[in-house]
Amino acid sequence: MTEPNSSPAFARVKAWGLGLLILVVVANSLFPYLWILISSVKPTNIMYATPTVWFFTPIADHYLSAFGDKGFGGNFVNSMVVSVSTTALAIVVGTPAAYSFARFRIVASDHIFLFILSTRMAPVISLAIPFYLIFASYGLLNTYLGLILAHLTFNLSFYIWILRGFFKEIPVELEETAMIDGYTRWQAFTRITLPLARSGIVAASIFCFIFSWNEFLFALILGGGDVKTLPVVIPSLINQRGVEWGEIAAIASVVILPILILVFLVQKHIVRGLTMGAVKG
Amino acid sequence: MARTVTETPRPEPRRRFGARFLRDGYPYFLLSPSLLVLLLVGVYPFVFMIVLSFRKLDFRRFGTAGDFIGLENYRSLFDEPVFFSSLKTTAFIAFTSVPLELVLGFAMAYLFNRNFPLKRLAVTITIIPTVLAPIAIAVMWKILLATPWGFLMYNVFYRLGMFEDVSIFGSPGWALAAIIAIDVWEWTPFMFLVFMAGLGGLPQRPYEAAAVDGASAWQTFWYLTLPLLSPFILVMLFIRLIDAFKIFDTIYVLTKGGPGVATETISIFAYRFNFEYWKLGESSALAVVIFLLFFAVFGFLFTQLQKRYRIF
Repeated sequence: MTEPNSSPAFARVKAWGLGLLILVVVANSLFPYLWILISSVKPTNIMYATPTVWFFTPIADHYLSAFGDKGFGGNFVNSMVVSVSTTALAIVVGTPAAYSFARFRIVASDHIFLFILSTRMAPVISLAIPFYLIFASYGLLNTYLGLILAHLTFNLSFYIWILRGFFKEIPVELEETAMIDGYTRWQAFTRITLPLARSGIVAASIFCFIFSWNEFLFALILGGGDVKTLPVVIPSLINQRGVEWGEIAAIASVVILPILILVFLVQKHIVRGLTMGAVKG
Repeated sequence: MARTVTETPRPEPRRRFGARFLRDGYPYFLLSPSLLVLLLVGVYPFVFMIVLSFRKLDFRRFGTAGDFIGLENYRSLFDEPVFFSSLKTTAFIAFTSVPLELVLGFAMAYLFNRNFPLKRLAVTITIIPTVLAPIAIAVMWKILLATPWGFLMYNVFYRLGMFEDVSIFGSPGWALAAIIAIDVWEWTPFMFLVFMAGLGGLPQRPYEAAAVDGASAWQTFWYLTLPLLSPFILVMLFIRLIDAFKIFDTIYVLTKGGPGVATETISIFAYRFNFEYWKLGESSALAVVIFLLFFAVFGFLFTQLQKRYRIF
């Protein structure tokens, strides 16, 4: 079969064209977050220059003033405390539940599942309003505990949902053999299944951390002065007079950087993480 | 049913309660902490909200439930014109951005569905917008579109002669377009990623058969690829449409719903209603309405997906 367009010259042009297109697609995704990282080390005097200044000696001033003098380091700590605690709680509370779903017949498990998935996807604003009123009367507003509880609404359900999938992929026969050999179910779980599910647990936890780290609406409403997380700091800086874009870029970069690192750690599981296991990837 | 003589009576071992609990109750024991937490953070607020929505609430007497006033809160909510306009705006954003994301994401996945050097790295760099904090994304675009020094604003739009007399976030149409464009930038990589997984897992056989039968590229795509990918498309539509209806963060930073109410989505409206105007009663009613809308759409789509396509 001869096609009119199958000459080697055409193939070369096509390969170059496609390569160029791919480059454009990658650049389109990359440029905005690269640009904010660049802006965060750009001296203030050329920040607003037109035409755009491309070459300059990077400075750390914006980071130093934002996280040192202005005290946003404290907000970084808040973000860390909330994200790490939420993730830890999800692991401790969620792992047994995920295992139970994966291995046992649970009465009405379909309905329980639907409930779990719906807490993951429920509109945050209509949870945040009652949370605000409830927390106000229990003194949980502006506390770590309150915000951590709120973040569990989406993270615990996510964690159970994803980990159940990972557990299901581990053959049940492995546990059964171990139990025939005299292991108790608990031992079979901790010595056989858990080690095999380790990469899944790590991936699920990293996702929980990312979701909590990025979360804004709960943090805005439920976390006041004492537990303001980094994302909540940003809008208040933008809406004031004499905006320091360099500092805002520095804070946004600190919000971005951990995610950039973590994404490379979970890239194998990212499809599953973002589609809640509906697509294995 | 009558017992037949041939059936051997199964020996039912006598177990003490403890042992029986260990056998039958174990799964529920493992499950209970999680369910307890989820009931506490998922169901309790919802019930609380329904109860409050029928009462008169006053922010000056915070934490005290007022008198029962029936549907009064709902009535004054429905009297609020911005409620309906915000619903419309939300639907407009969702139904414009999600199809765009779907089509662009598919095109990108199709483009990437070949071997080239550094592919893994290229894919990871491309999908990063989807996992970044929406707040950080809003800052990025604010810096790119700042007047007059923003990189895109100066180097692209001014060159094209645009936005010389209108500011991008100051005119209703452009502000809405910008919000949609940013949403598309943020979420197209998600579609791309799932389509990549879908294309990568397609069976080879049908394609060989189609080639033998002399199907054109377009026919192969329309009658083969698309139907094979339909479960992926449905899952993504499900996840993204529900997500898109919740859009809040980027709008809060970029326009706060303005100019006027041009970009005021339902979440922004609810936030302002409760935390700027302190209409607590009406906000409770609104939270209930949003919840019910969510459950109706979510429940319907979910059961359809599960029954017809065995997804989830």
